Amino acid sequence: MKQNSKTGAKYILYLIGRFFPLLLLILVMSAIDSATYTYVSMFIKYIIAVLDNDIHATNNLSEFILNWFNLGQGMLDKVVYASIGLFLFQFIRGIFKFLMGFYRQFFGEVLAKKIRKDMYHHIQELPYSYHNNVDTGDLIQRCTTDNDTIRNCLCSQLPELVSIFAVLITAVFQMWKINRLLMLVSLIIVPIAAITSIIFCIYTEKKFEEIEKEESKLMSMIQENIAGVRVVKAFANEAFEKEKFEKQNLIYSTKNLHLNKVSAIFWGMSDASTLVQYLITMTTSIFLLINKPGIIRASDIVAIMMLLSSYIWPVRSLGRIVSDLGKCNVAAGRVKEILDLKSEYVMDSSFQPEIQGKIEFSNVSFQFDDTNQHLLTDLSFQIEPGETVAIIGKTGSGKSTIAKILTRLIEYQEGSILIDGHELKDIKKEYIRSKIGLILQEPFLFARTVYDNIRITNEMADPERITEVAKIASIEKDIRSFEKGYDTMVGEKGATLSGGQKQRLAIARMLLVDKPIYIFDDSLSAVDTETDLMIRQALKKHNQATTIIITHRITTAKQADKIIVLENGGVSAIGTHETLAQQEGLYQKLWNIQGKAEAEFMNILREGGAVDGHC
Amino acid sequence: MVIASIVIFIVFTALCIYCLLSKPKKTMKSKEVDQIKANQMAEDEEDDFEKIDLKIWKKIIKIIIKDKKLIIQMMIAVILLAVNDLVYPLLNRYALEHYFNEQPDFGTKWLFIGMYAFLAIALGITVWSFIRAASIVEESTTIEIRKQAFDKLQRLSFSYYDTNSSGWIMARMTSDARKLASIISWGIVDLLWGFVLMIGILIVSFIINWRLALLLLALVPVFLLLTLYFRKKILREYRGVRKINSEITAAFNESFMGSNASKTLVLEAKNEKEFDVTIAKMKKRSIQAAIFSSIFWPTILVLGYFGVAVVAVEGGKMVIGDELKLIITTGTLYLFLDYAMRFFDPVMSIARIISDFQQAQASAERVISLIETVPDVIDTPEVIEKYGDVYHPKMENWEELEGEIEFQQVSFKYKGTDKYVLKDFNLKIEKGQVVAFVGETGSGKSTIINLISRFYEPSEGSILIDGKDYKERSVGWLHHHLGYVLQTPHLFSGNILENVRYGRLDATDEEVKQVCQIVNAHEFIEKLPQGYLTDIGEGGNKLSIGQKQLLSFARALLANPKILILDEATSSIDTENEKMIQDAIGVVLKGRTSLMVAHRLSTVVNADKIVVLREGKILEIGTHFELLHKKGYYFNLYKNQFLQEFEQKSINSI
Repeated sequence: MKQNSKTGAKYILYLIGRFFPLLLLILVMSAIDSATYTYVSMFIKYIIAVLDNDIHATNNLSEFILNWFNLGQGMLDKVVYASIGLFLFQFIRGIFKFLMGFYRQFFGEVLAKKIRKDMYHHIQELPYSYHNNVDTGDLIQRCTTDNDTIRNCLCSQLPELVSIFAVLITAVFQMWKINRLLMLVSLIIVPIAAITSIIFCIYTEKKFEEIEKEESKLMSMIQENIAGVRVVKAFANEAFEKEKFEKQNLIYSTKNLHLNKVSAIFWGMSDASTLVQYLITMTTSIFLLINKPGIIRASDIVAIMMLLSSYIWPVRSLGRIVSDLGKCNVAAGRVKEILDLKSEYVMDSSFQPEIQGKIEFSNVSFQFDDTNQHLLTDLSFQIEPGETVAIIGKTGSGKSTIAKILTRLIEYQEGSILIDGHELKDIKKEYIRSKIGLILQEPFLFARTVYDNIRITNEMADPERITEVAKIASIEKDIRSFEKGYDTMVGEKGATLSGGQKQRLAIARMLLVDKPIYIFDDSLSAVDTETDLMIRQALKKHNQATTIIITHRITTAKQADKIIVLENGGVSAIGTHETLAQQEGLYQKLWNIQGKAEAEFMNILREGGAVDGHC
Repeated sequence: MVIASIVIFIVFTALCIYCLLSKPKKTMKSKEVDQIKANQMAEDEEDDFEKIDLKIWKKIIKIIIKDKKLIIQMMIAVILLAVNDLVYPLLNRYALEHYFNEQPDFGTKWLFIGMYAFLAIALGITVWSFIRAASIVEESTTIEIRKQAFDKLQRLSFSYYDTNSSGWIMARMTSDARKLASIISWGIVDLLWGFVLMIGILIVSFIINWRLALLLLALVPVFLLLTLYFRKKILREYRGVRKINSEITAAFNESFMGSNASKTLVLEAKNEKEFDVTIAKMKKRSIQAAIFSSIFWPTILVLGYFGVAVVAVEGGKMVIGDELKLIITTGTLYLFLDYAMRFFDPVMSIARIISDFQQAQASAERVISLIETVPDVIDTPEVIEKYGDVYHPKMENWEELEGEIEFQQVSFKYKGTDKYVLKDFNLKIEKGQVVAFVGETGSGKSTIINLISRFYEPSEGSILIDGKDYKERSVGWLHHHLGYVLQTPHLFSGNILENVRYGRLDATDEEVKQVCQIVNAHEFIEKLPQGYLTDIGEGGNKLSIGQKQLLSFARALLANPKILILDEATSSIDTENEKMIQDAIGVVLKGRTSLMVAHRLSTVVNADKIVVLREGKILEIGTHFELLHKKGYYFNLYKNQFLQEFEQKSINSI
């Protein structure tokens, strides 16, 4: 946490430095806006003073302006011109306020855009190992809510803070010119209001956390009830649910109400103390007048009362601002924490050799950083260009790890992998990925149309080509059956595709670009055997690429040029179906069992007959 | 001068009115487009401004305000507050007139100070009491809305949950409840305060000087219309911004969820380019919105000070007392200036609340619609008379349920559709039989289950339980004798004990443990850190699906139902847990009428009767082996599944 707040502060400083001119402009504008506000009371003061025949007290800005233009000789003229002056002054301030408001939001947008962009770009470049374990919800929160918090802090709370000080200083200055004692007396409320508002804010925040907890309990209770309506009804537990809900409903509301009641006390006292401050100022001036008649004129007391109200409200909001600034630090720390993670492309090479599709594994070993157990040990095999190779093994034998290593999603620790004679680690990541078509068992489809999902790998592809790959992947018919055909939206808001449809769509998308190497990582598991075969035959006809098929289906593996059998992270056998089926080992066992399936089924039929007969 | 200014204001007001009136024309044209957009917007729940319909508000207040006293208390406090705000400038005027002039008279100073102090205390008390009262009103309204909505939700039948997504229902309980409660408490407070203060200022002004008062009055429509106009405009602008913002969030989400796809397809650069376009659009749109929102406040300020300046000039004339011979003191002038400077506050707060009410009306309508929905499946008054209702069952009158079920010419179609899901369906299930329903999605198997559970009722025909139409007995009676296990086991937050006990609320700890032992769940439960008291997280997320399923079996078993329904209960179980689950099923089915819907045919082989359905009709019926020998639809289905499962199982079993 401490570390976090330190990096947070550093990041805020960085952002301030980055946008210094804009931020400075906003802060200066805020200061000017607040400072000039106190001059409104000076205009009023002047008008009252003129009408009161009080010429001594008119030594201020409005008088100065009027004299400059040589206006306002008579009393009424002076009032008229001062009024026009006040209006024009506010008119100019209005324009200034507009610009300030605009620049504040403009700055906010520029800042938010930068953080969004930095985060998005950076997170994309974080390695597979990071994305594999990350809590997406938390990450999104860092990109959105935390970003907003930082933005609000820099483009509204910080200027507000400056405003408070600006208005306070100028008001004090104006009061100083009127009467120093009155000034001092009128400032009594400032420390009191500031401190109490900060204490109150801290208290509120703490309570608020508790309330939020109760609220989320209540929310999940409703959620569970709605989601489990079948269970509730089927067990006839409506009354129980109602009672449970009402109890939590009351707990939450009571807590909330309690906080509001405390707030009511705070605001009541706070408002009362404002009036007490007016009273103190007023009383002091009355007693000053009694001692020394004429020392405070009507215009003076009017000005002081107005100045007083110009800073009382801002000072009372100090607590909120301070507590919000505190949140900003935490938010910045959370954002920076992500930005400080190392991109997977930082140390990448730039080597981009021609790739034919020859793959050589020699003594490759791999283990995850946080375990001692090797996932792959001493793996060696060779794949020739254009060959179709099946890798077969049990769940957990390390089959999928090979695909991830080949695409450099994860890095092997020992041994060497040569692609057309070049060490894999020396080849640029993005380049090798663009040369290998990897199709996963549970492919991710993007929230756009079916057409755009296929086209995603090559924007330039023409419609004929897209239907062609869809046909090869046996998905064309399915797409035609959709109500909107190729324009069907995929994802949450669109059609829900079955697992097999997703897999075939992913295949189509990958086929759109010719690649020297394709890897099917169990990516036809949700497709029935016949379609599986059809797709593979179509593939074979259309390209001469090296194809690696990772599978647990022996019928799929059977047709490969070469079959690699994996057991416990190592190669236990390599060969064709003919050789392996003769050889004792996992493959043979599998083959035997698989072949028996049909017989087994017939057996069941017969058995059933017997049982039936008994009946 | 007065006349001139009034003319200007009238012209300006007319302009504003014109702007507002010309608005509907534009929306008329784009109404169709809006209609389409409305569908997309529905999920964002962004309500547009509606014409205020007092009937709706009367109704909602009638529904949710149980204690009128609270509202009255709140109103009194607010009126007092407004009076307070009105009075203390008068006190300042008094001071200016009596103490701060050429011939001061300090005789009343103690009275003055006393009055001021009294006002300070009064202010404190009124502020305290109005916040307190409004908070109580707010909370009690939220409680009431949630309570009534939840109560209704428990009574509503299934068709309601089919047509309304859980997100939609949640929104009624959360954002709508909050919005309504806040507008009924704080909205009324602000409205009343603004109104009383505005009227008060005008009245005091009229009493002291009607000419200046008229001036203030002329400002009212200007502020009102301007605020209403800008608020709508700004809210609509920001709605556009929020829409892009949700696009951005979606882009973040997709990028994180699909990071593997992006990496392996090498889409990073493309993604970044697309994202940059979206955030640039966001920036442009936000800045556009910023122009509008930044212009609003300065406009009000400048207009307000136009009024202040006019008051100053006119008041100044009166102080000097030339042609009109209306002499006022500088104190009175200051009072007017003070009123003029703070006048836009109440008027704007009125405008704000009006637009809030316009916006919140849709919430009110939705809440009313939820609370007033009539459930599709309800018992007749005679049945309720005898058997009691959901919350007050009269169990003493309940007959035993034996478990014989019969469908007589049952047809069913969903409300609002013409297509029959089930047509003239007849089936008799004997007491204690295990019957499985097999068929494709849409074949009607889930409908049959829902009809038996009386989640829906037949459109035509009738369902007899123990030889009597089940509508002649209460829903509660049937459900009390029903057990239900779902495909995705639904568990509740809390510990294991509570979750299993959900089957029968009065079961003892021992009984719970007993059923857990029967379904083989006891072993894994004992291994958990706190055993039966282990918290299983929201929806039971801390357990595996297999474990959750075992618990849901235990729960059903505890209920000791006469009719048990297994709704795809095994389809999401992995092969490892399958054996345990199969064993559990065997135990649970014993001695009761059991109905199952299954994708996985391995679970149905032992059923007494398998009903193969297609398009709402019975295609084949018989035992597993009977159907296999038929070599029909079931035969093919089973064969395919058998071979596939065999393949999968075999590789991991070596």
